Amino acid sequence: MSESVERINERLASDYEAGFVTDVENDSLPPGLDEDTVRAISARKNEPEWLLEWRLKAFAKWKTLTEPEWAHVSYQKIDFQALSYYSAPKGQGDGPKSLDEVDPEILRTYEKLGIPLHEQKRLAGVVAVDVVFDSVSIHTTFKDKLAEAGVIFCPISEAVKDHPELVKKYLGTVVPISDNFYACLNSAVFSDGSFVFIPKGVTCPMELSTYFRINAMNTGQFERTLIIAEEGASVSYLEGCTAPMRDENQLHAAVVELIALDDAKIKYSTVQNWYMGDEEGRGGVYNFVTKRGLCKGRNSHISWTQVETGSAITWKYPSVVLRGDNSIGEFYSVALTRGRQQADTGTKMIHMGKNTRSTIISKGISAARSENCYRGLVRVAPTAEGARNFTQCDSLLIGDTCGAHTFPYIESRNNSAVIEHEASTSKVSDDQLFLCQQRGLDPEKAVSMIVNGFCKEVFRELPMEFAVEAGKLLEISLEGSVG
Amino acid sequence: MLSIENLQASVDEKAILKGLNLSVGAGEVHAIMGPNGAGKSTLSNVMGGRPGYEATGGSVTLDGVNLLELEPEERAYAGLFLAFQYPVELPGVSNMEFLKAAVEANCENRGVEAPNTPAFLKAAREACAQVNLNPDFLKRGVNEGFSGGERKRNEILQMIMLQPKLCVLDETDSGLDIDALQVVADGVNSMRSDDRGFVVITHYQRLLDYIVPDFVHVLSDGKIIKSGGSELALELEKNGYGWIEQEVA
Amino acid sequence: MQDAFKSTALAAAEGASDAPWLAARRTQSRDAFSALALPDRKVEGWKYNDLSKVYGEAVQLTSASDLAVARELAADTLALEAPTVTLVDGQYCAELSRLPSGLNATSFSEASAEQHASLAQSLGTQARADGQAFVLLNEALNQDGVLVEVGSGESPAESLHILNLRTAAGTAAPRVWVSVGENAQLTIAEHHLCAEGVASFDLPVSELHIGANSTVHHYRFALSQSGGRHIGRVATRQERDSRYYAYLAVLGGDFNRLDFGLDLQGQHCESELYGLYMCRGQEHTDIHLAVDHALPHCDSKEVFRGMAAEQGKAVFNGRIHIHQDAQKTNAELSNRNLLLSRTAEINTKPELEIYADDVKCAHGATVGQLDPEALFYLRSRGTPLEAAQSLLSYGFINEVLLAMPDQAIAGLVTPRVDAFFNDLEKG
Repeated sequence: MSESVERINERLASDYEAGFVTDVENDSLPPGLDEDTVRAISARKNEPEWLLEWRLKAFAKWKTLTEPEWAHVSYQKIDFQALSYYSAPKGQGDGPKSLDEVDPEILRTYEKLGIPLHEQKRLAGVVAVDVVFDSVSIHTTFKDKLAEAGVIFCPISEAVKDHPELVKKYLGTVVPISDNFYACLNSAVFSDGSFVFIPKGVTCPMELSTYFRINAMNTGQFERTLIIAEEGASVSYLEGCTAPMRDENQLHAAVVELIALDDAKIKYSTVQNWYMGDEEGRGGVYNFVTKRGLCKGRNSHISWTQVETGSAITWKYPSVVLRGDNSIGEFYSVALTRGRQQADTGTKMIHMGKNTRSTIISKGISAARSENCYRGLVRVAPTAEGARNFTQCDSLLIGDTCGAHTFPYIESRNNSAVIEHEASTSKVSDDQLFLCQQRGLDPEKAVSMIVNGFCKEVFRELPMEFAVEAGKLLEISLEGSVG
Repeated sequence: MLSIENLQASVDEKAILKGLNLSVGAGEVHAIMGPNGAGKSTLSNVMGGRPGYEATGGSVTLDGVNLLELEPEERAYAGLFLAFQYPVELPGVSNMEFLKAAVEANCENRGVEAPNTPAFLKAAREACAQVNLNPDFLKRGVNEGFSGGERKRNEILQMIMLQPKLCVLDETDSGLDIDALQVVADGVNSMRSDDRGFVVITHYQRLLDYIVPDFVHVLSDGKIIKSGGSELALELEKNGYGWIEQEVA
Repeated sequence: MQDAFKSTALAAAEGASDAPWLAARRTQSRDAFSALALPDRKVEGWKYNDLSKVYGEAVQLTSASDLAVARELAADTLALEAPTVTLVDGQYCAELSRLPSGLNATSFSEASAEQHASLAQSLGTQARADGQAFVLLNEALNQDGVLVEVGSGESPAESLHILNLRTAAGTAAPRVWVSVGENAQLTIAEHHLCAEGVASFDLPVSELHIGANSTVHHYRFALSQSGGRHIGRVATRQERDSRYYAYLAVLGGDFNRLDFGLDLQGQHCESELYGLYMCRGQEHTDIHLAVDHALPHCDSKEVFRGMAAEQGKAVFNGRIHIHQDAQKTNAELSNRNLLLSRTAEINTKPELEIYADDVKCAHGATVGQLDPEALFYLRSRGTPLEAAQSLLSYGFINEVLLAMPDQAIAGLVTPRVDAFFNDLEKG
């Protein structure tokens, strides 16, 4: 291994800027998980009976499931009885009515993270934000402006009360209760998350965004997000995630469901920067997430874009079920792993409708002692006449102590379908570094520039201002990387 | 401005440069010629500090600064520019962002104020015109899918933008047709000034018809074995290197 | 179902070779097999396999072979007049063998005591690496095999053929051990041929060890007229500076599974693997390829082409594993597949597992149909649809067929490819 690469890796264990702890009093459930826990969560949220029933059904199912082991990751098994399943800053349990009711300590947290909640401080009218702190939604901005357009954007706990018919109609229709171990657990104990409803023909007037933060210790975060775009509607949604640095592992097991009806378009972007643990692999977030979109209607379009730099372990496959004829699914991903991070991530494109199309672009960057794995499934059902898929998976390795793996599954049962998969592996070469250095760039800047170039096809897919953020995040992640 | 004294260098523990001396004054153009394997490219790589090229003795100083002690980027800040024989691709990194980052880093470290964005864009477009490249070229990835000629012109473009004190051209002429060679030579000639030195390393005399050197040196087996004026290049072209090697032996 | 399969298998093992030099190993393998859970769909490597086709029938060693059928099956290969060692239903057949003069090839049963001693040491050292149930079962059931030894510096001019012929229903578990010394050269062709309508169950295992700086061309054809189940394993190990070229073809047979492992255990090895698999009717073919790059400076290239027609189901799994020490590796895998009917199915999974940074690796996989543009082009020039289809289909697999340097050997596959297309046209 060249000296420069060694130096990159030595210093890759960078500072985690979002790693501070916010000192607020919590109203938490004691650790442990049984039926009473599920009932307690439901009671704390004053939920209707049908939702409690739904949760209990999920919990009963969960008890019969075992943790999946097929992913290319290794970790100490989670003790589900040692976790707390609900934590809310005191007094926020019901969700604050206005910013004045929010604990100033929490407001400062978000200022520090660069997410001011006061609307006037955001670029006027560009982005509406829902903020989830541990288990509850703290504040949603621009609600009124959105309401004018008929858009519903609120915490899911609020939607349960205000729009029960919509929640009832769609919850669990894309990711059923029994889908997998973590999704099932989430269905039983989910705390909060965002709910988005874009009515027929409406183009959401601004970007929507949710910011998730795990603060409390030994707490699992189980948010549930549900986005529905009716006929001809369109929306772009972004989520961001951080957590403080703690020695213990925190569990994040979210479920996201997207539903696009005829001619609707949903673009879902994620910038994930959960705490990754220290150099020795202590602490960090276990990010076990189920994200799935259903292109239910004709000509519908669902696009996932993710920039993943955080978490100790990532287990995540944002997928699209292409049921409507002519529907389109897309997955654009950058996953950077360093330190001792392990990522097993990718997508599933399930082609069922005629002339459905999917595109997968995955860029994996591995450094230090990390493991970065792409796992993807392209399935063409017999009904998917004329389906098309194109997949490109590129890996970039920094140093020879990391791993980069590609496990694509291609299943075709329709002879008119065309599926193409390409994968390549490369490294930041000494020649590239030297060219940059000779032109006056220090190796750190050079690496970050080369990595950014490698990811360009994905960054292009992010909403403008987040593309800049993502680039910066990558730069910070690689920062202090070269001496 | 440049002084190379008794430079020894090895690659893979094999001695390539065996006591090389060269002195380049401000405003001068020196050509270094020599047969294959003489150590021409090693010289430029050792000067630039490419990993794997280790100076085992002697010194290289530029205006009193010993380059051998510096990191490659610090050598750039000291004023050294190396035009590569085989410029590498940086996929996805656009020429524009690359140039901007390089210009800013150099200015900052040389204590000069970096040009503001409009000034930078203007300079970049002018430089493009000078090396006969379409300005759209700035949006493309660095050397990504470039032809050999485009890569070499891109090197000259960077040279113009970075305003170095000493330019080392490593076989910049190889693989170029006459038109491209003319463009490259024009770029270099436009950069010639009283406060800037050039070391032009080449295998072919042809380049020196376009960039007329003040001095010509013959490099053989890791040493400069003969020096002279531009007429020496013509003699080499006509008679090859054998007669000098014999004369010296 | 697995339990019944297992108990008949263990009972059948009583009828395996009673050669004393193999006794210890046979017992060991039988016990290991007995203790092992048999794979099913839940095991990742078998997820696309319907093993009920295998477990559904009892294991019973073939007792009564039909020599007349064997003669017919062997004819084309014997016509090449090259050295040939023939096993009929798992047992050595002297009549259909032509033992070579310049090269040391023999059946296990005819081998010397010295050879037995060395075989006892080496058998299984490569193929058993991943403890596969069916390799263990081969060892428990094995009746005979073929030993090929090429000494250092030797390079026999003629290619060597190993014929595995199936003439009667039941199980056979033949074994091949090929050892090539240093600076040597060998062309070897393994033929697994099954006569029409024979409900055979084949469990062949071949191991090749290629010494430093040697070159081996290895053809392996599994061709069944119809019927027959085949679970095969090939394990090749290469030492430094060696070159290995393998050409695989699988056509016909109700159920085919081939696990092909290549282990690059020296620097500067070069390997090229070409494969062709075609299935139709109710046929199922699964090719699992695993290439292990353990050391630096090796190049490997894999080119596989597959077709599925009618209700055929083809599975390809190509894994390239680059270990941490394997810097400067070049590895390239290409897998292209054609689905020729609405009811056929193709599953492919090209995997890369990489732990070294200074490597060039790429894989590509496609599943599709014949290019309609190209079809139209040919038809507009007057080529009838069927002919155009066959022309393009040949074009699709020619990359594999033309890679075979000995076209006489390749010629043993092409009639089967023709038959595949002809039968399809007839519908």
